[in-house]
Amino acid sequence: MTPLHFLLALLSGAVAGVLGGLFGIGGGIFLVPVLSIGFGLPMHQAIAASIVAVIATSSATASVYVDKGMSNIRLGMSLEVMTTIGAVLGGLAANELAGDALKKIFAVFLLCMGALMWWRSRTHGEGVIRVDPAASIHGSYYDEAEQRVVEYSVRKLGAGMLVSFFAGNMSGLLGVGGGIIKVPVMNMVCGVPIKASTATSNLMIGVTAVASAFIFFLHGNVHPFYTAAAVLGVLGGSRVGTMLGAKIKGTTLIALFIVVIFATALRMFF
Amino acid sequence: MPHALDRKLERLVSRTLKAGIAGSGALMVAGFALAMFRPESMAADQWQLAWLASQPLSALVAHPSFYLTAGILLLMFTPILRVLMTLITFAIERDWRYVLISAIVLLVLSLSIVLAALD
Repeated sequence: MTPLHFLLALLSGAVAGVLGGLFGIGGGIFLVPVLSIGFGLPMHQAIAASIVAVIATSSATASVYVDKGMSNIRLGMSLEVMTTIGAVLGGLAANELAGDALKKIFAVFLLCMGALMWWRSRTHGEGVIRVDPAASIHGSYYDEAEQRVVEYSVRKLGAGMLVSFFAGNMSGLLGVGGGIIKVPVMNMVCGVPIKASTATSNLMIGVTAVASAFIFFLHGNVHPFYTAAAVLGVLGGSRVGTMLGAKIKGTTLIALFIVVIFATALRMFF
Repeated sequence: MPHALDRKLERLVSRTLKAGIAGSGALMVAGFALAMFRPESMAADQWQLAWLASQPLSALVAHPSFYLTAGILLLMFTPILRVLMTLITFAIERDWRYVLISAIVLLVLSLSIVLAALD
């Protein structure tokens, strides 16, 4: 590893950290091509470094969002049950399935989800956020952009858990963190405000990534120099990401998230 | 669970995560600082697990890969520790539904590590 490579890995980690703090995603979709094409790392080493970087993004951003009360620990834990089981099963099946066909199916799914999110943002704004005493999980946090306390109840937890299983499965199969599915599901299906959805996703993606990180580590695919440089970048970038994430308006965040979904879908196609 | 207890859990989780990233960040900075003085340690084979395992401890403590790998391992154990802390807090609060949920997450994670080790 040359000093230039070190700086570039640090910088790409920082970008992933900013994206993670803002959108509740691990940034693997950005890191994997940078590490494999940019640095010429073998694909499995690029994915391994990216997955470890996702854990860094998760811990760094969640440590801030949990402290601010923005991440919903109960919701995160409930959905994690399904994402981890899904990820383990997906990881076991990963070798059996053709990666390319699966990527295209996933891309089509993302395009549909992005279109749905766009349509809903025009009709429902930030979504249907309400308090329902009958719900089993509730949440509240102080929205710095709107300068008010937002209260909400988690609806349709069962449906959320079902889609979380699918999200976990995809992350095991394709080596993506799955935050890109978790956030819209929490927002559109479970009625969780977008900022609480991204903050809760931030808490969850680390646990989903750990399951596969150990597989890569024990197979000797985690290159410490590139991985650690990216992680240090993530730690810096996520500070910026969480600062922006706490202050941004919910409606702006939804609009930006839709762009991220479409960009990810396009990347999956080509 | 009343709000005050949820707040306690949030503080504990946040502190666990902060301690994990601070520790692994420090190990990684130490590793790269050491690498500046020992450029030969950046050789292609001097990072693989098999190579690290073949070295005596006295050689390892002077090698950047050792600190970087230790930092990465600490990072990987942090979310597991977070789930464990959550489980313990829910158990103290006697919130059995979430004790069960946290226990399943912990079990699946442990299972995935065991499966990886056996593979």
